[in-house]
Amino acid sequence: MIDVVSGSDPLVLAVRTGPLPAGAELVLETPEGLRIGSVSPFGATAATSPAEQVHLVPVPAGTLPDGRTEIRARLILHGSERAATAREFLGVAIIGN
Amino acid sequence: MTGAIPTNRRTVLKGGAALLAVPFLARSAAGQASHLRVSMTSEEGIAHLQTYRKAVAAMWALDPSDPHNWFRYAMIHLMDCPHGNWWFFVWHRPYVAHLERIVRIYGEDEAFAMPYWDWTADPFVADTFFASSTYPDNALDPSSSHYPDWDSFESAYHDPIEAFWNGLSDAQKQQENLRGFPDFDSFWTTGVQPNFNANPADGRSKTAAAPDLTPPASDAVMLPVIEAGLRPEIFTTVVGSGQARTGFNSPESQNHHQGVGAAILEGQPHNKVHNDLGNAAGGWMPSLLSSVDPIFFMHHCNVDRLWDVWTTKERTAGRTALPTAEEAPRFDPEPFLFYIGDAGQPAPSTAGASMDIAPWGYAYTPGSGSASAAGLQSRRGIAPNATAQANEGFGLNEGATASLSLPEGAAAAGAEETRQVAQVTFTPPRTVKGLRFDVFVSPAGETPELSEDSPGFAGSFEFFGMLHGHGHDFTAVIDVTDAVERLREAGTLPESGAIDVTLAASGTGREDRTLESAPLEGVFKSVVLESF
Ligand SMILES: [Cu+2]
Repeated sequence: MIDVVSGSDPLVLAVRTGPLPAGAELVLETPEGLRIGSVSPFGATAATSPAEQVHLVPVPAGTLPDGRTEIRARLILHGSERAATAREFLGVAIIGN
Repeated sequence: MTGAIPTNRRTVLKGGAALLAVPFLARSAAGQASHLRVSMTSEEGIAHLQTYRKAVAAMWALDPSDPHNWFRYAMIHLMDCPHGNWWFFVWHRPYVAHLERIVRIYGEDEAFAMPYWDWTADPFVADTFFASSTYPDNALDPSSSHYPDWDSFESAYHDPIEAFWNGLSDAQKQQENLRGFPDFDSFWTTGVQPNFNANPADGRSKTAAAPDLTPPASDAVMLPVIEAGLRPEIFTTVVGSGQARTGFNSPESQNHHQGVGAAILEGQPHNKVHNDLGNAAGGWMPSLLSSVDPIFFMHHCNVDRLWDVWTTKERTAGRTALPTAEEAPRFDPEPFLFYIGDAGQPAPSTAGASMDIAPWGYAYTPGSGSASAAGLQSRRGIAPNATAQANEGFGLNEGATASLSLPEGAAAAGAEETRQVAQVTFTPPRTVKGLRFDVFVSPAGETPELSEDSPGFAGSFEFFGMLHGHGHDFTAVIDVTDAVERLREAGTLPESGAIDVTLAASGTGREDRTLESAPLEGVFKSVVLESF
């Protein structure tokens, strides 16, 4: 859930994820299917890296309605897709500039 | 290429690169830059890629024990690259810059400057990177004979790389240990092999017939995303806690082998372009051996350019563009121990010592995001700008016009060192071969004469290596300063108020056949006028 207050600047979402398969795309959308943005991992994650990663996703101003919006995630990997698991999609928040 | 030769009255821009380097050189490298990095689809950029092609072939031909061997240079990335942390931009700067100097040797051209892939303007892999009738064994194409399959690679490279590994310093071995490679066997079996593209035919997902970036990469390279990435006013993204803030760089981590997350430019265009150049079958670019694909360095050159654009924007606004004093003791000393210099020598460095662009002697021509960065400042009152929507069709010798009303202070064009730059966004016609896209300025309401001898003629844009418009919108960056000045000197253009910008296509005689066979309608979408 995020709370949107309208403004003229784009929103930036901080998306918390667990380990994602290489080459995967985690797509964020509303329950109505409005696509908000996505996250794609790239690069090594050393053994000592935390399981939780934070990716910033810009969302153009006006994309989301004012008020409370639920955000869901699905995972696309090489053309096939499924809902993201609770260990893959940990949560999302609006992050300030 | 068209037969027309640019004169000093004309500024012909190819593939999105602008030739107006002066204010940027002055700002980004204090006027000391000896090499200007240009867009790889510009005429000059394509010439640099000839040098690059020659160098890549020569480097592949070197013995695997030679640190300048192409795979050996690529392997530095596997051993040391940071991703998902605040050392991402700074580590890649020397990695690209050392190669630039090495290419001057093997490409036998001292003037070589690494061209950048401005994916926002050119959301496709340029023809130069594919085998063709001119270059049937193009070393810039990972399916060419230069790229070994796994078996022949293993038999030729395993022993020389093991010997190299055994010669690593203790400090280097400690770094590899942090990376998850405690010994050579783990490096070979969990590093080299899983990242190696075993079948050269799968080396890159894009082909000459289907070169376009596809979603999500094609969305991630669009200007609004780049602008969002350039907007932050702090160096480091801060996550967690109530202090969370968007920075230009990804968040802090304990060392540069550890990934913790990605800020906008790293996570969106950077990651997604990497991943889009491979697929389920393989491909170098999605892997940690991505730098085996020569286009890696054009990709990272653009990433480095955007860092420079951001740095310039920040310094113009009076900020440092550096980590805070509190962060610096954790950021600066990070060791980068695997670089190789142009004499084949180890060139160890630290993060703090790698920040500056000036010592490398290069600077960038403006590309996508340059004008936006100034616009981000302008909204804070530093440089005025004006925007107008056109959404009007244009065609061959048929103009479409947008009317800009200039804000107070925008009339500074003509003042010393101030340039006015128009970002012209348009949907090209389906066929672009043989066409030039001409930009004119004129007093409001007056139709300009559509000729390059017209005083209001500001410059042109051409597509290179493309027959079709790919259905994407393109943004050409055109310096209109001289045209505006000519009109003001002639007394036809007032110092402030409205100004018209007209876009029209023109064609050259030889391609007339092509022009007849396809519809010519393009759409002039919008124009942004910026003062620098
Ligand atoms: Cu990269």
